[in-house]
Amino acid sequence: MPDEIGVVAALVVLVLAVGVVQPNFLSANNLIQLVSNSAYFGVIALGMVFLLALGEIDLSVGWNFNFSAVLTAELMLFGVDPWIAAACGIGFGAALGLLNGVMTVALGLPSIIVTLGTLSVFQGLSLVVTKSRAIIPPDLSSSFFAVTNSRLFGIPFVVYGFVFAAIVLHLVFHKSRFGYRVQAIGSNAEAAKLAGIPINRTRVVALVLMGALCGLAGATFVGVRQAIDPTTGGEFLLVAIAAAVIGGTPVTGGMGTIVGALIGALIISTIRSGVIFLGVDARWSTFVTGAVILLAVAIDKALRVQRDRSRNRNREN
Amino acid sequence: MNLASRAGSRKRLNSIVATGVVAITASWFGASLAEDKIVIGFVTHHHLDQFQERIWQGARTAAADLGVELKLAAPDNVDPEAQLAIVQSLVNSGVSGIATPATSESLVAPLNAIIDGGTPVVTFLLNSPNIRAPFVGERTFPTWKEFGKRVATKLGADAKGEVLVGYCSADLEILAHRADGTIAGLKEAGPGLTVLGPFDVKLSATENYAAWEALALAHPNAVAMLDLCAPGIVSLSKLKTSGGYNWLIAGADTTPENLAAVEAGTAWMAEGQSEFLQGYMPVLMLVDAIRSGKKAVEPSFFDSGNQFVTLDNADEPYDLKDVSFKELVEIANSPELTAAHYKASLENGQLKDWKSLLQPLENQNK
Repeated sequence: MPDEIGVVAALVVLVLAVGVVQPNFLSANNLIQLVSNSAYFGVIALGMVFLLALGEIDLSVGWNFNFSAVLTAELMLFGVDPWIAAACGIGFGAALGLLNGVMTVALGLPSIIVTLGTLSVFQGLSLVVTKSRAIIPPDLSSSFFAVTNSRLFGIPFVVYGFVFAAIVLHLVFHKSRFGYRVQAIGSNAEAAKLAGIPINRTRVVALVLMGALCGLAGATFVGVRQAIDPTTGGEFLLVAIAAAVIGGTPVTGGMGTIVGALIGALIISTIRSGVIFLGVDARWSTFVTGAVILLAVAIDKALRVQRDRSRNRNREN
Repeated sequence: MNLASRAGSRKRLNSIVATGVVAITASWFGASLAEDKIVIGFVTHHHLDQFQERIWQGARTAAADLGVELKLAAPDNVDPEAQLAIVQSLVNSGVSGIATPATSESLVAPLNAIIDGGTPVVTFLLNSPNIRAPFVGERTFPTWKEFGKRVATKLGADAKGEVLVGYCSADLEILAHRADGTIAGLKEAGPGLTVLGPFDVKLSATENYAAWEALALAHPNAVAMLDLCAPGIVSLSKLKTSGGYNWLIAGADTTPENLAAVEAGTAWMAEGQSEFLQGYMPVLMLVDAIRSGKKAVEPSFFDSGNQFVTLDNADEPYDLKDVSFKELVEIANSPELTAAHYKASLENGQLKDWKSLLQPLENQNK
């Protein structure tokens, strides 16, 4: 049984539970929108899996996203071709990730401490650049905006991008040397060191990957929404971590699941939308959201326990 | 895992997925909300304070007056993406119209897509001129320029000294416009004043108090402290009382707490922006359009009006009944009195003919 069976089951139960009461919830348009809305923080959650598996965390992801998007839009304001501006935005996100990585290694500090500082640095610099105003690309005639807003079989570009990123990162996590190293360091850093795994280099690369994904999400956001303002992205940190953890990546390191993080992001969007469809009072919606997340995690845990028991029984037989 | 167990697991997974696929497919072909009942989705950008509650109260009153259903919702914090997800969910659930603030420019394209899809939208409180919908709210820059001028005038034409300006969030564009207006007004009417800020003094009561406390220690001889968001008047009043300061205090929103500080004499002026109307008018405009068979509401600006409330002045916009400061406090503390205060104008006065009050959208910040 795949590790993700629990979260898949939780997602299906949630979707059906809301859909039974409010059939419109199951409309194609709504379900596509759910996935589409998950894409930006979802891509960040995919990167967070690498860091959590490594035993690290990046608290600056939301403002890295924002700052990268701001840079992308600013470059467009200066007349740079939107495709090049977007590439610069992704590179800029990676550079911010590199800054996190280099400081983590050079100062010998946990990434949680370093990124706690860079969180405010990125937010503050982004505010300085935007002067508290939204940035709107002046010319939307570029094919960049046409592509990022395109649909294939009625499904938006960002959905394909999100799924494609998940497939690539799944392969990187499970099939590449880098992925094995991440899991080995997260399982036992001392043993990994004795085995000759370059711990610092792996930490830096993981943080750069995280930054590049923030940049990718930010540049895509500018393409789809054709604007970026100083508030957007600030709330992505907690939902990205929540999506990864709900998906089955433990905060203790050593393992992770990219597919789980994708499903975790969908669960969060489903709950957010579900409380609206079910007409939950706004004051209760925060409580309900938390309670349903706990329920989803409990379903996942119950299925994992059942699977482990089944495995043990089979071994004994 | 043996083969039998693996096959069992796959069966369970397949049955879960199959159930989902069947339900979804059935819904795609069968579900379509075609009800005659008008349902308005009303989404604020958060639900953390009394100000938002008073907007909701206006929306609830309008829904009751017009006999329509209201779905109120808001994200946990100011989060444009979460707000958009709520709005889209409401649209997908089949509401007849949407009222929501333009918290972010990134909401422009999705809200315009909703309008193009045939669901009418009205924005309130926070505006973007790029949304093809009406806006209900204050005229930001001119209102706050007037606010700054009134403060400078109160301090005296020859007044000198530092005036500190703070707002609760450096990343909301409307607050930047408020700050621009306030500073312009202070400089115009008080050329001898040294205007400092805007400082980010945060939204939560504890952070706001701490920020103003630090600013007070750094600028002990300031002549005025101005907070352009709701919590500032209360924080500054506490500091003024405990620290023995002599600043003039003025700030935003006529919440019961702020009016109490004005009544106690610690604060001088609270600026109100008729938040009840910012809740009432969007619902009224949407229902009017829907009942007229319109799929969209023409872009326009409805000025919700302002009050500059001091102990001596509680002037009301439009033809709302003049009230004393004491009556204003009673109204602020009672949803019933608030509704009754606006009822006369909405039923028989200037506000009844609200269409004649609509202005071009570009007037909002002039």
